[in-house]
Amino acid sequence: MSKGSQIYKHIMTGVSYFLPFVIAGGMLMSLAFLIDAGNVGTKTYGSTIPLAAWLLETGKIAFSLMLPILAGFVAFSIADRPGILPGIVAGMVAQSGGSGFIGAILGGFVAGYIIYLLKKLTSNIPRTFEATKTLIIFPVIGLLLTAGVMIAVNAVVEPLNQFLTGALKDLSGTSSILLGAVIGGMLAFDMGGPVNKTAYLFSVASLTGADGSATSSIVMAAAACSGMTISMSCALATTLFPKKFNDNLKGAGKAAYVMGASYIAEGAIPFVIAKPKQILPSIITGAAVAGALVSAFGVKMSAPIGGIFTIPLTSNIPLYILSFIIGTLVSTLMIGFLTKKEEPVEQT
Amino acid sequence: MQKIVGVTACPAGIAHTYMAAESIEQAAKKLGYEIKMETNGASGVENRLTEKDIEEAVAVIIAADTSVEMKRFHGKPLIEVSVGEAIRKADIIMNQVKSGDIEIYQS
Repeated sequence: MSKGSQIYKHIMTGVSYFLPFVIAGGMLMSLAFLIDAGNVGTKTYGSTIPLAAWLLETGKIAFSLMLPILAGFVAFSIADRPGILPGIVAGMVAQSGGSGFIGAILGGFVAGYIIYLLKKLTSNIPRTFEATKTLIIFPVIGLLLTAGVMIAVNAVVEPLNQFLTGALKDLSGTSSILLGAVIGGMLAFDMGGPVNKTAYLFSVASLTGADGSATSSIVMAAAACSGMTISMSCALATTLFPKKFNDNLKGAGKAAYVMGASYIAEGAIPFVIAKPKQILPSIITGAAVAGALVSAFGVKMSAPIGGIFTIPLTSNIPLYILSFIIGTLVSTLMIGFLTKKEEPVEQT
Repeated sequence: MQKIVGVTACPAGIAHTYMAAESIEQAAKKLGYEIKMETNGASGVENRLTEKDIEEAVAVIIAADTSVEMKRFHGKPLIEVSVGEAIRKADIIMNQVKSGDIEIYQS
């Protein structure tokens, strides 16, 4: 396997373990603000009502574990079990040192490769010293070395991270719309693949402020909204243009309604496999339109995931839904326009 | 009947993992192989491969975008692809299995 795909696998292993923390934490925090909606603008917004305060606190704890878990499991992917400890600590160090996502991912690699190296160096040690290896060398030496390197990582990445969060915050007007469109297009591009995950990760990262606190963002709203259009438009196309799809795809269309509503882009895959040249440009365009519209309207989102359940958590529900409908219609109509009538003989 | 085993895993572990497993299963059955696919999804490992499964298998297919427990496949003919390739090109992968042109995995 190539080095590049190895590195991708390590990051994705980290992502697969950190996603539940992000989703659960983000949802609880968003719910807290929803329940406490009567106190908007007050200093205690989000925690005035006891139930909201409890949700907010629980959500914050889950959310604050996100970077340590990400780094910990990147390191786990590289060095197996002994990687977890230095990885998690490196993620914590990145978080408290203000180097955020980039720092945490780098920290995971630092911890992972340090343990990997220690494993190689100690591979010839006699079996009797096995306990020394797992109890002292990997955890203690590994952690010391990792923490040492993290000083340098923080020194370099912290300013970069500050700059990026600042730039994202100041982004407005045309550049914001463009970013929304690009995020939407990327999400649709490979439906859950590497490009999609990169765009999604970037959007989730925009929910953490420079100091590591949770915030709401336009980028996340754009991602959440455009992500729903992908499967939804394929589903709607099977309903509006039934003659253009065979029975297999019509069945897939029913599932795609549910997937679209649940923010799962994968519902579009059967369609893209069957008619790549027609479907792919359509869903990319539709998602980009939805993303651009959300950004143009300046709608913000505090939950790290799209789908119909998080619609109430957006800062402007009507405009958010409008963007979703327009985006979906654009790509559905494009699909209808581009695909030809299904020939009955094609059924095998 | 010759047996093939495999593992699929994707970052979210909700959809791709299972679609890849299904795609490979179908392609394998088409060529008359017995097939067992382990899925490493968001809810953990399902349909776990036993030592006996691996022992009996003539080939191993790994379709993963995340790390998979690999040591157990030492010395087996093994094909490693991405989840996307497994979904789209399962037939091509199976033809490779049939041709026998597979590298032996060294852990």
